[in-house]
Amino acid sequence: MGAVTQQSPLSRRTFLRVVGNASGAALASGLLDSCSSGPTASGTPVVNLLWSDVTNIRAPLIADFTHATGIKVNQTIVQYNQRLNKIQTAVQGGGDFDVVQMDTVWTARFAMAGWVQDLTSRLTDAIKQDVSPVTLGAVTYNGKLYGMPLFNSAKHLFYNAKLLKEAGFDHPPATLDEFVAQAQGTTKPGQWGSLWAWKQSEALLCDWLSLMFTQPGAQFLDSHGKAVFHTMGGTEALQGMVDLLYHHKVADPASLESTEDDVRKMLQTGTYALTYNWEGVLPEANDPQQSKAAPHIRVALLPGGRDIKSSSVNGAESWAILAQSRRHEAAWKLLEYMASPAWQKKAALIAGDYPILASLYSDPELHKHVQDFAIYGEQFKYLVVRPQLPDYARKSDIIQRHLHAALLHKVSPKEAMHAAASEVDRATATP
Amino acid sequence: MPLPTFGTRFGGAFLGRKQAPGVTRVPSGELSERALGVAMLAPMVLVLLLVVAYPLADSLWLSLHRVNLANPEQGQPFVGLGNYLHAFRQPAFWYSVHRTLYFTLLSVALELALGLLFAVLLNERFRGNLGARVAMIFPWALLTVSNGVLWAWILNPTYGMANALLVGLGVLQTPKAWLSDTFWTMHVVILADAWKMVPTMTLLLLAGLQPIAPDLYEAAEVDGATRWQKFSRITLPLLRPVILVAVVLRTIGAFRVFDLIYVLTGNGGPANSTKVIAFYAYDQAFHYLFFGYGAAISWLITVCMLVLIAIYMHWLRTEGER
Repeated sequence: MGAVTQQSPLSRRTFLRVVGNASGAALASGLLDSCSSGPTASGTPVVNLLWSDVTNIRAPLIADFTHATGIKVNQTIVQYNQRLNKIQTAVQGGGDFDVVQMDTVWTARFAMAGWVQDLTSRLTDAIKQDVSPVTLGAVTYNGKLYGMPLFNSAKHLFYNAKLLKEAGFDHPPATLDEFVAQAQGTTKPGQWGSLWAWKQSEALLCDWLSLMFTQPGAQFLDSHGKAVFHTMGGTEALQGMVDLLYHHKVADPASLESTEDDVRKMLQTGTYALTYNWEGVLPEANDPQQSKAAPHIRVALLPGGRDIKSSSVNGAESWAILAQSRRHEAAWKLLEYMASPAWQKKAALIAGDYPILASLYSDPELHKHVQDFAIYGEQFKYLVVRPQLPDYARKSDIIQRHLHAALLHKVSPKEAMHAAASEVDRATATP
Repeated sequence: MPLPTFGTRFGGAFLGRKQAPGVTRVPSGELSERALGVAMLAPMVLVLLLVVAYPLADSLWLSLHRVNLANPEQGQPFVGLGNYLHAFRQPAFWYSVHRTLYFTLLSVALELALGLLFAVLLNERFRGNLGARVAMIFPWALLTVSNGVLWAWILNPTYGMANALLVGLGVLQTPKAWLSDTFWTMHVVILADAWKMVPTMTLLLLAGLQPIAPDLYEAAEVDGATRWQKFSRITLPLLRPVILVAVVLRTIGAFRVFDLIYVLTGNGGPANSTKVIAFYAYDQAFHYLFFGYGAAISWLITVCMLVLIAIYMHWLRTEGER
């Protein structure tokens, strides 16, 4: 067979050259594009925002801000789980963000690392008067303000009113003793009185803290930063949790592998009476298309103790301005607008966010649109702020591990709490 | 006559071979084939240097420093082997090594046993053999994260299939919370890993089985050998090189396990019972921001991998020389 040759209309050399030039142009274009921050070509001021509005439901709020101030907002939207890594990369030089969404438990770490700006001097009287100190506490470290809360968030009691009524209870539990009694009354084959998010995670720590602070005098650290939780309420709270599982037998053992999301979904099966969870449970739980428990799920204050009406954990998220930002003023304008009634009310209406402004909890329009709205406002008065520590993640992990060991019946609550306190105190040095 | 291909012509030029007669000379003023080749390869080499060599060297350098991103005030002092020595003094580090070895030994043993069984079965001629081989590929084709989510659903205590089946069959009286038990969690993670990785093992072993000449089995049958004798005296010895390769490759993979445990347990729980060494390194670097220490742990994992790879290379060479 003879050789077959074919003359290509585009020689290899020409093809490679074209591809090379095109790639070079694309690379150069990308580099130039990434360098082009600051005001746009038309002179419009810009703010680069990193946050987790993953459904883009708050887009109208951003549009309102741009309309009101003329400042354009470039949004980068990521899932919660990716956000911390994204921020860490940005502050190491991998991004040009001005404003980032910050979890409560990151405040101390970000402040200590010098990643976020001190906003204390910018706090206006309007904000001071209408935002409660405990709400601002989520973004305060060593007496300085490092962010602006985006919305209020706390754990609440979500209960199945039908199951409680069938067991003879006409109101949700107001105290932990009542909680145990009602959980006992509603536990029967195929049905549990309570379900918890006690997987080894931050959720477990939140529930433990909520229960711990129903006791007068409960304390996490002393004034020198030494762990005292094991002698000041932590052991009793853990004992109560263990008792729910093994003594009263009113907590589903599945609690030990459940997250808050699991608890939310499992409440919808209609086989659980009492659960702790963050706000936002009701719309799905009372939708008959999605939930077997509809329309019987209601919200109430978390149960309290002898002298304490209620206790919950502050889970708010906030916006902070990165120290590296070159657009401080525009960035602050965005934070200020976000903390205004215009944003906060509209965010509640379109996205179901719970306002940071106390005055909005008496707003008739919000009461009309959000089921049991007043109860949320009431719960936000009884918040515990998790310890603002730069190495909170490490210390929280230590406590979670010991809590879980006790809940798995590997050690007693007292042993677990003493071991946790000792390890927390030792975990101060950087490897 | 073979068609001239880009590879042979380009390769020849790049390796400095004498230009074949008849090849058009490059007009003066244009790059020679060799220079063009170097120019075209340069971006790839540069990218590899940037994304592989540089991070490796940088992480080694990082591992010799105390780096806490959350506390820039302490600077980044050189600590030599301090991070490595710190790891050796940590009970949590040794516990994670223990958990890793436990996972690796059990998962590789299970995968080898099942892989061998399926490979021998699929090597037989039977109706539907092709369909069985295709079905075998499915778990392997699944993303590890998807596999984790799938098993999380199967094992869900309230609406999972595993409990429904076991309670339905009367094996369990009440549904079990599999992932809240320190014993069961590690073992269901191993099961989930085996479900995904047995096909890989099967394919490797099947490839090793196919060249074994049927004459050997026929001769053994003439001599009155039983099925077990044929398997233990013919199949296993001839399959040994492939088994060695498969075991080393899977050991390397199992030693690095992270994503499956992350999806199934979230935090290496319950009570850290599934906190393998890759999870420990992740926590230190990305959760606590101890980048120097995290880099040291990563290098310890890398050294373990290099040892396994050295064993693998040695075996390959030994088998090749036989």
